[in-house]
Amino acid sequence: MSQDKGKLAKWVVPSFGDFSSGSASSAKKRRQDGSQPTPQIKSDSNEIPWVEKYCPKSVGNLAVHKKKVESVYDWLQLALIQPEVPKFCLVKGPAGSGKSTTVKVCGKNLGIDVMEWITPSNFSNFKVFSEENDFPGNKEFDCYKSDRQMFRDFVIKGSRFHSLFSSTGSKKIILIEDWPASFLRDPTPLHEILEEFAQSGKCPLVMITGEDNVFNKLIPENLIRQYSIDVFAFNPMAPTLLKKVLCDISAKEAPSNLNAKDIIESICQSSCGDLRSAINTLQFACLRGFTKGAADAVKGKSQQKSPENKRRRLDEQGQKKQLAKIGGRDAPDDFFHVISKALYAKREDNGALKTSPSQIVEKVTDKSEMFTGFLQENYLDFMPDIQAAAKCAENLELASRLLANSFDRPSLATTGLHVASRGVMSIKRDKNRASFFKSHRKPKYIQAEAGFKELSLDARRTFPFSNASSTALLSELLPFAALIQPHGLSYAQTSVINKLPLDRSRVFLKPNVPPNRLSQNGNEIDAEFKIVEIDSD
Amino acid sequence: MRRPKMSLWVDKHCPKSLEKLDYHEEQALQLKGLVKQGDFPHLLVYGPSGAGKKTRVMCLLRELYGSGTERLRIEKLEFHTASKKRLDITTISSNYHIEVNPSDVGIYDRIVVQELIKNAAQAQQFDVNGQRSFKVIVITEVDNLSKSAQHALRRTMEKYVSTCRLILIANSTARVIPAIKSRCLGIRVAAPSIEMISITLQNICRKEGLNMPNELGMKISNASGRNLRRAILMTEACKVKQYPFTNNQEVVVPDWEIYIAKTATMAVQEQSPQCLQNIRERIYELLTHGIPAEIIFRGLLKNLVKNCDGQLKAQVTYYAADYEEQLHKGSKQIFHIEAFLAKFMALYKSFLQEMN
Repeated sequence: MSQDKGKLAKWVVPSFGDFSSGSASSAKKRRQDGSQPTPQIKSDSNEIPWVEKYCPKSVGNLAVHKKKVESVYDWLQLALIQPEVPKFCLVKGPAGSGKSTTVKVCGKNLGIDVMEWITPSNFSNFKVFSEENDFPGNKEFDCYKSDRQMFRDFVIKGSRFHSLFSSTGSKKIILIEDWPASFLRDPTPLHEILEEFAQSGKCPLVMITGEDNVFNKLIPENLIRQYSIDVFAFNPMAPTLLKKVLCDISAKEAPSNLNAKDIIESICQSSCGDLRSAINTLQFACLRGFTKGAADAVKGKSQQKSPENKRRRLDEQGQKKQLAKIGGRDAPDDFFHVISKALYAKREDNGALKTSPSQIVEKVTDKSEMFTGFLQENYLDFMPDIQAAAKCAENLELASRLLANSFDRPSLATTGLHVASRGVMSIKRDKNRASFFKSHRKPKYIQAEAGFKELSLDARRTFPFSNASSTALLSELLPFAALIQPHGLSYAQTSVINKLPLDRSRVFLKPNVPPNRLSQNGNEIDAEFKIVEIDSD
Repeated sequence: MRRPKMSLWVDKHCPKSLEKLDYHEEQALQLKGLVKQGDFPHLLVYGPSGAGKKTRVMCLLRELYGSGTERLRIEKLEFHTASKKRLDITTISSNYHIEVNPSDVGIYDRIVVQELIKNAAQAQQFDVNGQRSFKVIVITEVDNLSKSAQHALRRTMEKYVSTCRLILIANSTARVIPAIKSRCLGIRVAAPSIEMISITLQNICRKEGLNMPNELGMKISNASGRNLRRAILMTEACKVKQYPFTNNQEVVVPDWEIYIAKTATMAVQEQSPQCLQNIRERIYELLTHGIPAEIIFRGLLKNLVKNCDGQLKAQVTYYAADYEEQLHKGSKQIFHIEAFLAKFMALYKSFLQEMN
């Protein structure tokens, strides 16, 4: 397999145009991870993106977990028994976990039409002449239907009327994966359409969403209950399954490639369970494995200049790294993942940190306060002794101080984050406790601040004319007022004072004092109010 | 709204005019002179808690406008953020002044500062008899204002100088931005000395018709940490507990002081990350109950050094002072208190190991 330079140029120039049709390929046409446009190659069957080439044709070939496939398959089967009663199902999961492929392949095996909504990208192609717009002599007036309107027509009318080109008759499902962008801004019209569909729809409706936050916004919890939507949650592809698929493909495509095992291994690691990206990466990797030119193209200009022998010296490690650079997905940037990385601070055998503090800083720059808060709340669980804890506490203290002053000098924010992450990570963890599991606690200072705020507002509201500031009210006036029991406290004032004891099981003043009896006479108050002695347990 | 009849001595015996102030008489005279001129610049009144800042400000207002400033009413004001979030804030005002604590609305304090001053300043003084052409806005707890609110304050301050004067009250100027400090006349109200407190307590007791032994007066003054409000409250609490007074009577302390002492004991008993974790919970509890971090620091230190020898005492005190200073530069108190405690525990542990 050899290619000349001219063709290679095509490889590096990404093309965004439509390149093929047919239901199987259209499923792969739209990428959720738009960072990897598939190159446009039509001439040679070898150059079809492998994602399309090896798209499973039957349920048995799906790389998704069998149980999951079965559940989707069964649902479709059940839903089609009574197509007049519209049923909803929602398939969610991360990109590349095989959501749409599963639905489509199941549909195909059941012999049903899968009608998929694709949001028109270019309005001029979808000019719809409005029938309502019947101004005399104004027939040329172009009228555009909104996304929303078209979407509604598609979903409602599509479920009621048969396609002229359909071979399967009434058996069909409507699939929505490409949500019109306007729904993300305001999902109410979508909810109206769903309502309408629930009443007048004539076929099952399958919805697919990627990230959880998108899905939560589009279809909130109460709608799921209201329409009894069945939810299928797909997980990222398991590494074993992923590996199997990649091995199969590489065995077919490049049986002679000796490095295949290593490459596949590294792809599996870097793809985070995204099958689509993994296959794309494999294809890319195989290309550069075979042709010198492609390798150059991948590595970029600077290395093209380097002498050939130097390039050969790239060891396997380097190759893997290179690979991760071109195809690998970033590891999840989930905030809590990052926190864990900083807290556990796992090390290689030679003592070097597995994740560098700088990487961590990069991922939390927008949540700096939260980051230090979480570190501070949780670091003590990881400290081997008090000396280490003291060092760590000192670093965190410095970090928080730097962050607090970043209003005037924004560069301090990054410095503060570096101090925090390095301060926590640099301390050697106890070897014996390296692999224990701890769930992270939420930083309590937020709660403490909120509690203080509430208490001080209460105090200031009930004692409005005192000269004391909020803290003085809470720390001096009210505790002493509880001891002194002055006459004429209002009920509200009493209840605020009763919130004060540090041990919540104690009360300063007897609760449930009827407000009207407070100011009658001194003796009675003494009988009513009883200071509970503060004992030292 | 009528001032509720709460008969705590602190409120009852609070001096109402500049002549009646018990201490810092010279400063009172200066303030009087300031008002006499008819006009005065923006003021920044600062000093420790319980030194009488607010008392002085109220006396000053009375000197300015007469007894009308004592007729106070509570008003609820409403502001809206740019995102249409509603902010409610309670203000206390007379015909001549308005008092507000913008930190009540948390991070939105900037809006309150701007809008309130704008509103107050745009309305001219209507009172025909009013001898002053300006209104006074008293802003309390200025240390707690966010940086953006302080910058906003700086601009509005200059803009509306013809119709209003600001009196800012703060515990320390450390967290007040220099731009504001330079636009205000700083008035430092120092904490009264032990003797002054003792005298004041005697005066109050005399007015109440009580007999206060000198030694008990000194004992309470010492225990109050030069905080007059606290001293008066303590005296009254002592009176409730036992009267007639005796010289060897226990001075009543609030429950959080015992709580802090117990927390310090925990740090002395065991030095481990787990123990620090437990202590942190207690510190959170204190902070939630509005005990200021400075007081926690002081209380902890007082109890911790009891268990140290001379050299360690000096070290611990040094770190307490250091972290307390940093506290004012940071925004999250727990970080600083915990760093200090961790430091202490580490020091104390090595101290114990050396001993053995």
